[in-house]
Amino acid sequence: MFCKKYENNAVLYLYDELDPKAAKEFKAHVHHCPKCRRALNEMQHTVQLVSTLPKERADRSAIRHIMHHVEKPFSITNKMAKWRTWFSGSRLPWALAAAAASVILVLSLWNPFSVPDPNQAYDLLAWNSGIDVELDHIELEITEMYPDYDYSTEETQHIETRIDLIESSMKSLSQDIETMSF
Amino acid sequence: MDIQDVVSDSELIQKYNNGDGRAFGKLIDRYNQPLMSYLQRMVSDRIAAHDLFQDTFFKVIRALPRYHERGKFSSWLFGIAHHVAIDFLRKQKRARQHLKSDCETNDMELADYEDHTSMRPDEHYDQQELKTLLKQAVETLPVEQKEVLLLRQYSGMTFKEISEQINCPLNTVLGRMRYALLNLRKSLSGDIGEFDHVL
Repeated sequence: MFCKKYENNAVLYLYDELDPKAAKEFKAHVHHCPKCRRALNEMQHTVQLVSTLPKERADRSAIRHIMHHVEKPFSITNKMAKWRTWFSGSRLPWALAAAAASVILVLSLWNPFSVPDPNQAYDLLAWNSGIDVELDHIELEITEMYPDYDYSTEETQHIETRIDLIESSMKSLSQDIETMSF
Repeated sequence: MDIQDVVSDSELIQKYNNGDGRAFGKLIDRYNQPLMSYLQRMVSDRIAAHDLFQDTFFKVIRALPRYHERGKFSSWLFGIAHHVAIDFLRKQKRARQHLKSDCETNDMELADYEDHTSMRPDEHYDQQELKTLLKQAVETLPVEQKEVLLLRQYSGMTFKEISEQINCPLNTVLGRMRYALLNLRKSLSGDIGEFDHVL
């Protein structure tokens, strides 16, 4: 056991956290005190033993589980980054496709009271089919461009759901046109 | 040169906040070994330690908004891990001594250890046996002493930083560390002389 005055200093000294002035005083005391010298040697020996404690590592499955919960392109806290990244990377084509389809849908409904001209109806049907095909092409391109992208995230599924709704609306519109004209 | 040695914790956090999830993966890799070692030694259960490892990082993800780079990330990380481990132990009631919510200075005492060694004094222990006995000795320390010892060993925090993270006076932390080392020596007292040659 150490002299009472130096007990805590001994710990700080062994871990190199004692300030230089206190360290000098402590070393001078230890030099002249057999009790503290013996206690310091024993403590140093034990500290060396502690440093040999085995090191552990978490398994890859635990890390994968954590990474699955990491929000990839988003930070919850950084709303600006959230909006900035929402329009970057692979989301841009989705966003543009959704925006284009929405505009087309609105324009196609602009004059609901006009009786569609059969020729115009055919054109609209063809146009809607074309947009539908175009959306499929965009979806395929994105999948090929980003094969490792996780399409199962909540955000991606939300966007896909919205595009599905737009496609469904367009199909429904096509059917309405077909019914009214023919 | 390993990229992890070049990019600081702050930079990785900033990259993550800007949308790079892989940066958080690098943080996990960087602290995998020290954090898992700390948790496994604290709770003495590898499966539970894995759960606590994940819980710690889930809390880090949720708490990143409040981090604001006050102090070292490692200190903050191990502060969270400390609370996760202590909560687990409280629930599991594995502590030998009653866990106190405040820092009382009379919680430091030398435990009465039985001599666990069944080996004859003239037998030589190899390094693996030493590590096993050492692990057992650490696991039987009182929780308050064990947490200080393991935080100092694995987190890289100074004793002052440890005292701030666990909200205890510095002298109390130093006393617990001193008693932890004394208790370890006492626990291994039948074997310590035999291990001189393996150090």
